[in-house]
Amino acid sequence: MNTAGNTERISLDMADSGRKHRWPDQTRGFNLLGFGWLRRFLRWRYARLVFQLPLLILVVVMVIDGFTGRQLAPRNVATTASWLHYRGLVVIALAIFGNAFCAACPLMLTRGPSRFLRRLLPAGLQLRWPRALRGKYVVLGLLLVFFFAYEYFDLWASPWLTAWVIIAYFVGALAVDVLFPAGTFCRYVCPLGHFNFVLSSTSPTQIVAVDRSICETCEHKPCLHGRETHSSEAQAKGEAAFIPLAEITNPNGTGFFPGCETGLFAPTITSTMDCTNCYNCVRACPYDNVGIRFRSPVREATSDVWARRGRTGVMVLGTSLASLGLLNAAAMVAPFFTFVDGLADFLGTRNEAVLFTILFSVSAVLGPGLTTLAGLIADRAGGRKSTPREAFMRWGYVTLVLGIGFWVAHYVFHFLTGALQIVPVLQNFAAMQGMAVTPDWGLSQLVPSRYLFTVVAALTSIWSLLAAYVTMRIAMRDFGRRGVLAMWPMLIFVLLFAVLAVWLLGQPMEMRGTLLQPLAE
Amino acid sequence: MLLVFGLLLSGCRPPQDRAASAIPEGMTGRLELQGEPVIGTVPVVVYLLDGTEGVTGASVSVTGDMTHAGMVPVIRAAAEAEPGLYVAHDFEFDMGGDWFVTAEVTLRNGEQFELAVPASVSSR
Repeated sequence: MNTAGNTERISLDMADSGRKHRWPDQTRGFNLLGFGWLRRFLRWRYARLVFQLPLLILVVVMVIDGFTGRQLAPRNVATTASWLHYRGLVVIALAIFGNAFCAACPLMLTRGPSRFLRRLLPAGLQLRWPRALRGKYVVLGLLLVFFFAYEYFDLWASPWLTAWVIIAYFVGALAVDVLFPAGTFCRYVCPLGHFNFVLSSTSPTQIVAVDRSICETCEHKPCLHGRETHSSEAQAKGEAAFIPLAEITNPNGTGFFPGCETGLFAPTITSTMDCTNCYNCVRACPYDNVGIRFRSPVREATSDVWARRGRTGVMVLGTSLASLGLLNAAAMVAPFFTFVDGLADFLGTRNEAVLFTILFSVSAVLGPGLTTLAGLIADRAGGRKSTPREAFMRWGYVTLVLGIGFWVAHYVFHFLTGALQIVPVLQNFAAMQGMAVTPDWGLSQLVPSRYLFTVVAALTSIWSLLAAYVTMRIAMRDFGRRGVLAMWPMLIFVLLFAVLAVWLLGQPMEMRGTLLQPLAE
Repeated sequence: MLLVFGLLLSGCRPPQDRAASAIPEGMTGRLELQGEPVIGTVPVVVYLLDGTEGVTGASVSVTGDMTHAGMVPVIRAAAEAEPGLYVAHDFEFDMGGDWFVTAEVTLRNGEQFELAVPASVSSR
């Protein structure tokens, strides 16, 4: 599914205006952009910059402190903001709104430099992202590398390494978007963005076309391709279709308004996958016809949306993240270290790189594998002899929802434990720059420890109940009356996952930098 | 991206931890746990010598941080038991894992410095 492919298909659909379009249904929930002040703000050319600049300043502070500050993780802005606040705030935003971090991603401030550098490149070096790499397997591989590096190099304990990761991320985004079309990094490479894409599947908002009859007659599709608007065509630079200022509904300035860089066409969006919430579509639509509507958190999971967009690769990514989430949390509790000791003895190696590689590889396969197995049993119970792929694509949404719930619970736990720590680390950073500030290291918890397990168990339970509901909806949708039988294997799967998740979250934490031996003996 | 990351890593070393300030010249200090690092109370002892004389009248605060950001630090005051010997009797590890125990010392003349030791606390 590439941008060019989408564009071509949409154009063909639209070419025959007399033929009924084949666009899937979109949510009809409350439109946030019904608030005039919010719509005017998001249609403002520099709206995204307002969110990006504070994060860019924070990133600069993180890098400086990571390289020059205390090399003790809880006393450094780099490690505290990256591994505590970023992750906590990301999942909270995903749970109550949507993909807010991608919306404010400071990495995308490299767009300007990348456009400039691309002009300097010889024509032969302006490449297209290889078709073979356009699925989600590259991203899954990068995510595995990221998780491996996080555990193997103890990124969470090293401000210095964390600062290097931030630098590498900026350099990587710049390099990819210089050599390849804008948006390539977001759509095919960025592991953090894809983590957000997957977790936004149960977010309560998504981009929609407010009135799709307007889109049916829209000639240039600026939400997808961008537009140039000036008072006269003579001012146009040819970057996109020219639409005169006089034709713009609720004009939002002149110049070039880029379209969707990840190739999404607003009236066909049914999934938040690949949507960075950049709101380019909101700004580019000449008819002010793009909205942000509320939806049921299980709408995506019960609509089989990934059969149309992304297909197997997206589902593998989503279900792998569920099992990787369990491993990520398990690596912080004592039973895991006992298990790894046993594994090391069994394999006859104490090489941590080997052990982590095995653990992450098996974990990445376990999510899709167990989903397929449970799905095949469910399909049989429903009287259908499906192929493993059919069963996986039908029931994968259940595992997806379970995984999202676990990531949310895990990261919220850490956030609530140490959210206030951002105050003393910033005070410490200011003190190290010579300001007369005394860090108050006693600030840490947002919620007392005695309530934490209740909170995370409640979060896990909410998403487990959602997963059970998704199971029932899928069963009744695909099996009719036999759905009552088909749902049981998956409901048992949901129950087992939920029990394992709550047990893991209830374990006393043991955060160690080494798998097999203590830090100092 | 990975290539860049790898090249950068291979070319550099992490910096030494930049503590608040170094121990004053002529002084020696040592921080010790009184017992095995286990979950529960483990008194922390801080020895401070100025030449061969025990330092008196210093203010010593002992902080236990986990190596992961976001965990609640354990902060206790160490009382002067005798010249040059300061003890935080009620210091406790409340979680298994890797810790850094830091003593923040303020001398009578206002000079400040830190002493730190790592500790691996097993809950097994």
